Amino acid sequence: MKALLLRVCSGGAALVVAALIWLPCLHFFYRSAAVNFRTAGVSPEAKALTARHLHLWADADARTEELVRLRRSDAEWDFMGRSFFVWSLANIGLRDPASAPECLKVMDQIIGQTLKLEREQGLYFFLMPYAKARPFNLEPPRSLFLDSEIALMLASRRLLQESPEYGPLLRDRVDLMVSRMEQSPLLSAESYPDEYWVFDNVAALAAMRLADRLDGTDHSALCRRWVAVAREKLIDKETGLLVPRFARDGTPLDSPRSSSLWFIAHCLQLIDPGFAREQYDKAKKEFARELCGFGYATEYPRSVPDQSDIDSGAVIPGLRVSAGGSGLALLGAASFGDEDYLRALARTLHFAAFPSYRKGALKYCASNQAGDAAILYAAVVGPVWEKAREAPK
Amino acid sequence: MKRLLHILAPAGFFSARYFATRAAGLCVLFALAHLCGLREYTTLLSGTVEGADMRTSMILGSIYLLLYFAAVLVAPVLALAAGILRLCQILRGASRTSTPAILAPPPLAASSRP
Repeated sequence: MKALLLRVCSGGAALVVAALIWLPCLHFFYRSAAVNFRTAGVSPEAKALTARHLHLWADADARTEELVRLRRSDAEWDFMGRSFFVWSLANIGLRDPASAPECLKVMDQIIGQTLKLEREQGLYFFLMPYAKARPFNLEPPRSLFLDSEIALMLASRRLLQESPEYGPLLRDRVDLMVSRMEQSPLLSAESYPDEYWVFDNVAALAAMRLADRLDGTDHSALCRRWVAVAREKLIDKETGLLVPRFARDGTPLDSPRSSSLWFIAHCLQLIDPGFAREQYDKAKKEFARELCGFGYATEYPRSVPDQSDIDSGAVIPGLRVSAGGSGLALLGAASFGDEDYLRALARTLHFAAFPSYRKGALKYCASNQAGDAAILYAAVVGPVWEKAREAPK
Repeated sequence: MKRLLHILAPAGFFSARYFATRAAGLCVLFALAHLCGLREYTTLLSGTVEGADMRTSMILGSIYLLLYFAAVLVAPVLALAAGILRLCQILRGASRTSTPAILAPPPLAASSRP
């Protein structure tokens, strides 16, 4: 008995010492992955991720299989995968001008197909089923989720290389968004019936800023007014963060969440850089975590209990790791030049998102096509926003 | 009581060998899961389902996740613990055999008495 007790004590002590050695050192094995995630030009990781997406858009069977898989969970992902990839290609084309012709070809293919689907299948094709549950407040029904991201796709394409075909399409879409936003008391348009998403409204405003750069228009007054309204009505009192969605009268429909906020802060950079930085800093305080050199994000602020849904992805209990929030945190950290957090997140990406390389193409098994496109966007984001900040032509 | 203890803590329980075999076992199980292609099913983390059957997809993905974290987090700790225990045994063994030589009074002191 005494011998056993001694063995358990010595074994237990050895386990504790071993854990104290191993766990803090583990992140060193992911050092190069973190460095390769985002570099000057197009990083090796971004190239490998792009190769996978290019393959999907070149191979109709592979694409159909992937899209069926995505749409079975959420039709929005089919659409967001397209958006994030088109925005990524615009950045890649600007980072590496030699790749621009191929980027433009694929961007045109995706934009053309998406517009065709929108035209032929209607707005509900890319929305979740509850969009049909009740009527939109504003007739005819339109979703700012689609309008804003399509406008950003068109504008990004035109920023990479002007296209006479897309000029009128972008201008019409911008006018439509402005008109619908102006008709709402909070200067916001619906994405779902009586659901106003800040994510989509800031994407719409960012698209307007790109359109200003391209067409010499000026939507800065609307941007200023929107920010003033948002500061007054759409800020969560406890955290100081923007609520992700609200009803027409401004009633919040959810607590602030990281799967929305990193992207919101990224778009705000074109609308109000000060407000963007403020939101990023507060989001980092509420959602960002680091454990043994691995970075991640929680879905909700500290004071709000965990819930997981289609936007957050799985939430790991205990640590409260949100798959969706952590993926988009890469975009936040990359946009705001937060190198330490970005590297910590990239280490986690390689540690826990299960990268799979095949013939030079990379995918993350724990993610999906839309998630991988968002990760790619984080790896290359920058040049489009920089170009948008230049004086209008 | 003795019988219960024997079941709960068989011979060699918490020894270096015990840890090393468990570490190796976890690695082998993970390698098998990896070779069977279960990595693809971790897409459950993003809320996507691999294959037609959601239930099977969830189970296979969860098995892979458990084995992966066991192989990456637990197995190295077990292997290191085994190494630490083995090192301690070697040092103890060495100190036992060398103790008389070190601690025993020097023969010269004994013979130096007048």
